[in-house]
Amino acid sequence: MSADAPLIVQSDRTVLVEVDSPRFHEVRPLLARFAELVKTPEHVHTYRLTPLSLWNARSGGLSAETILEVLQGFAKFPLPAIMPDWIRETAGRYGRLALRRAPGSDLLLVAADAGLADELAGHDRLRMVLGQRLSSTSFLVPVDLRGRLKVALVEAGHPVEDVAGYTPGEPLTITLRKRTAAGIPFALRDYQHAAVEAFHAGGADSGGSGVLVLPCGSGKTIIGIGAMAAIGASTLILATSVTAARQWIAELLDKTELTAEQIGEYDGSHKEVRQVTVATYQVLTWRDRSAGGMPHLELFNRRDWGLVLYDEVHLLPAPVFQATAGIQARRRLGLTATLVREDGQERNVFALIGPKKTDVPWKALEATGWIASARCSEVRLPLPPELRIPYLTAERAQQHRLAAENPAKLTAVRALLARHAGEPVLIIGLYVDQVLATSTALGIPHLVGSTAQRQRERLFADFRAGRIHALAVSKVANSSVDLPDASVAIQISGSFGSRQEEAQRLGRILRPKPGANQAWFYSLVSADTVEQDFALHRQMFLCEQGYEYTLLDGVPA
Amino acid sequence: MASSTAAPSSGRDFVGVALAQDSPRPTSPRVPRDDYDPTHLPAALAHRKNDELQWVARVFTSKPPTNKHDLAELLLSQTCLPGLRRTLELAGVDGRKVLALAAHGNGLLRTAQAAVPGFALGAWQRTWDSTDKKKTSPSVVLLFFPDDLSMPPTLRQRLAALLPAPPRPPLKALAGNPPGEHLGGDALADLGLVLESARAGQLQLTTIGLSTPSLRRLTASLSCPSRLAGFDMMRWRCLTRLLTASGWLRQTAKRLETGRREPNRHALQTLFHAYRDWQHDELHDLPGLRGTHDEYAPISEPIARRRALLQALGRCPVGAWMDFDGFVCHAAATEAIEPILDDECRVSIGRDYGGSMAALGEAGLAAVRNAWMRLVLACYLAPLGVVEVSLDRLAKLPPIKTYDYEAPNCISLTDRVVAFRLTPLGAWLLGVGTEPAAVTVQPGGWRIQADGSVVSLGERVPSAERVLLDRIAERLDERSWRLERSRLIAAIAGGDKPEALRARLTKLSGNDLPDTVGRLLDDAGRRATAVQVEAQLIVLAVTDPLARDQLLHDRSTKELCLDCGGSLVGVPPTDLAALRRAARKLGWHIPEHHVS
Repeated sequence: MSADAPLIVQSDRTVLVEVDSPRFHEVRPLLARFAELVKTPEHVHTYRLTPLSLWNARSGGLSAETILEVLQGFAKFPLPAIMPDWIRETAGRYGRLALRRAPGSDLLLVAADAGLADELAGHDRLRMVLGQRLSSTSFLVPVDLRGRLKVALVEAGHPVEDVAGYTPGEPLTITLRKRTAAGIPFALRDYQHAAVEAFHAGGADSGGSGVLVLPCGSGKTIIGIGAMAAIGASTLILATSVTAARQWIAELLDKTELTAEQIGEYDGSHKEVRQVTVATYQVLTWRDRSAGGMPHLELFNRRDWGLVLYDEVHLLPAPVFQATAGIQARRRLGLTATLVREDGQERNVFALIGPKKTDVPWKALEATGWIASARCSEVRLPLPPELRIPYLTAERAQQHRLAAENPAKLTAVRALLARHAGEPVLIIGLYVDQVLATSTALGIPHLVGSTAQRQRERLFADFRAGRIHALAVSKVANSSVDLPDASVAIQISGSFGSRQEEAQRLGRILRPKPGANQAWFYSLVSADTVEQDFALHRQMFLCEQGYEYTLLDGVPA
Repeated sequence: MASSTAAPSSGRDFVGVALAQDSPRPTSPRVPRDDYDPTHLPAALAHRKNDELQWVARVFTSKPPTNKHDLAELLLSQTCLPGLRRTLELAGVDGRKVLALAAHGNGLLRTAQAAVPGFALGAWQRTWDSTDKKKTSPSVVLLFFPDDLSMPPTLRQRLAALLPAPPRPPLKALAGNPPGEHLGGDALADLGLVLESARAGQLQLTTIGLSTPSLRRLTASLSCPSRLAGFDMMRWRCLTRLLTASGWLRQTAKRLETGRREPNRHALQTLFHAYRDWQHDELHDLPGLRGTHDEYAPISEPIARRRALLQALGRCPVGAWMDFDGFVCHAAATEAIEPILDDECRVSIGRDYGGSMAALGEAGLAAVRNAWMRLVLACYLAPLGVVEVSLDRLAKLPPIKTYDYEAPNCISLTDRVVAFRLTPLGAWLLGVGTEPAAVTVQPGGWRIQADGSVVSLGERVPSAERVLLDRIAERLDERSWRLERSRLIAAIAGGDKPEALRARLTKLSGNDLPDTVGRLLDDAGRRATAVQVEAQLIVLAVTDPLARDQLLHDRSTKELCLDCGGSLVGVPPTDLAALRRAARKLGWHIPEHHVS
């Protein structure tokens, strides 16, 4: 215990970390191994010890005593009396169950002792997925129930160590280029290399499945490609949209020696299944109303995939979760900027995709210059007097729209465009009508859901090349659209209180920029309306990540 | 073997005989009386039936006397010095343990017996029936508890000289912080709760112990936080009762009047001593307990009991968290802290929890004792700055059953107390420590962040700051809060000044507030004060359109009323009489206005 120690461990299992402590940088990587990062505001970061985080740590080879040593070694005050016992007890649960390959095609669930095996046998939900009891401590598990068993065990508080291994998949040599197809020198950055290694674990069974959490703009796609190269097998990539899928294909062609013939696109318009296949979540979850079911989920078994890669894993739809439960023998990698799921399905991500392998805070990358530094501002604009009464008398849902479409925003956007003249600006809106109206009024191109793919690509190309400086986009651009030159984002309306959306939109402008490496994020909201309340909720996530919001009454001159 | 010696008569004759178990009925010669004067004992024994007395006397002789006088003399002789050693031999090892515990610690029969759970002691009222052979055998130990409750003090003194003191249950400090929320430690903070209640109109009082500035400071910074609202309500009621009883507050004035004296440590000491010697029984503060006739009978002396508790408290190490249950074990064995002596008395334990003392027996008595101790710690000693307490969540209550024989696990909100620690101030008040230096808030020991979170980085969160933050922010964990607009608005509407809040928060962090936080304060200030009650209006329903038009437009009345839409006409109360007169002249009657 010392005054400059950075940790305060609390009895509710949260851990406060003082950023100003001289030992902050020493403790942060240690803490990240066994605690979940909850928020990282400017002065005090909050981590939380949860059963999942402790099991993650145990899966990474960390013992309860090591965890306690870190906590005690860096704690400012004595640990709460209940903590050591809780940590020992909870962490001790990991490793008491192991899933191994049995002779034949089935799996073997082995418990550390007969008492635990009895408890599992008496558990209602587990009974349904456990097979024949072979001995006092082991059960036979049908191979197709591997995923369901893991989910059920996590829910029962008994995580299983899955050492049943993976199918190697169809081999495929993927070589990273030294120079991209465009001739730019290319190599993985240090943190990207570390993330790939954390996932791959040198090819051991302890690696091969997990989630990498990195901020937007940090090159998650590159990390994914690095993981593919490390594994060297045919890969199924699942992306959020056609644009995102094509972005993946473009990156693969740009950064690896793979040829176009080796990469297939699987979406609404293409159904190519090749050694590397990029599919969208939409096509996988497409439901055939006449025949029933989701026929494209068969894609998981159409080829002997050595790796299934889930882009933006926080958006993974429920049917894909279910399908993932059936492919537990394949290596799985999840990529995301945030594990916050509005539906609270983090536990399924842990059980079915795998434990979190790395989590790099946004601000850490910003400090090292790998992503741009961002200034966030909320610009509050009053509703015009003639809209005040219609707003007050409208239904709640209608109120949000009226506030979002406040005509004063157009003037503010003009002022901001003038302020950032010459810089690439994205104007992002929720309502298509508003996006179109803004585009028309300002004479700038727009990109909405109905924009044809060819037109989209042309717009992106022009935007990247600097031929157009401003682009009005609807929520189709929320994720997976690589706009490397955007340095200003103006959000004219957002999806109610979605924290995830706010983070994604900020992510559009965080990629490193030449010069001052500076980006601006403006959120325009109608003052004293529901929009202001929703904006408060949305900005919370970014504040928790350490971004300070400035609140402005109108656009400053 | 029987031996006897003559004793000089003094008032009443006694026969002291050391008896073997099979000795014949003792007769003369009489043994000399020692200095023990058990005058109450014959009276206590005289109330027993002959059968009861014979039942115990059979331990000493196979042929006990038949008349009550002789029986009483026989039994009394066993507690007089000449026969006492032999009697103690007959009591056996476990019996002597019970007696030693009673002699050296808490003199209650049930407490002493609880310390030797396997020992079948029996009781006068329950087990004297010798026809039931399976029941407890008679024990000489009963002799030392002639009223079935406690050992007479003189007898305790006598036994204490003969029996060595048993080891006390040790006081064990917790290794770290206990779970839950920590409360108390700053006496002024809790006093502020009372004053805040007064400001909120829940209590009218006159203070005579506080100056205007200190009062303003306290009322501006302290209030009932929402998460602990129920608990704090209970706390300030208790504290108000004490302050009123000790003359610090008078609930007579219609406005706050302040005296000229500043509160200081010595004033607090006076208050503490007033509490220590207060005749009030805290059991009556427990809403979950009700005596059959709103009485707890028989109840031990509240002052002595409170002093005993303070005595035990004084043995706790300063600043170390003590587990409550461990402390109870220690205190119950060493001090006379039992609030209810009789397990036959009927005390209802909470309407919601069912059960009664008669049904619950020992477990119920222990539950009452623990609830009393927790209440004293949380509602009196914490507000007085003697201890800090740690509150955990209440365990889920068991299903309610009529005639449930299980001990209830909740009597009052104070049952949340799981641990406490003696403060340096408390040690000084208890007379076991020196006067401590004043606790000050370290500027910069806090961080206020852009997401509205306020985090304390100190080992302790001073009560005044805690209470302030509980009022204006949502508590996230032991040291963190998040400022909330609705709470800020409520606080400002309650009298806090936005600029004062800003200044306090700025002082806490030692830096400028983040922009988001500053704007949040501004916004809350604006919303809290945007609407003011300007005046009251009496609304008249005027069903006749002609009357309505005349009142609203006639030169004599139009200045006195205003159109409220439809048939409604509004009149300020001050203009009602004038309007009535003018209306009368116009030929309309406005009825009298009765305020209910």
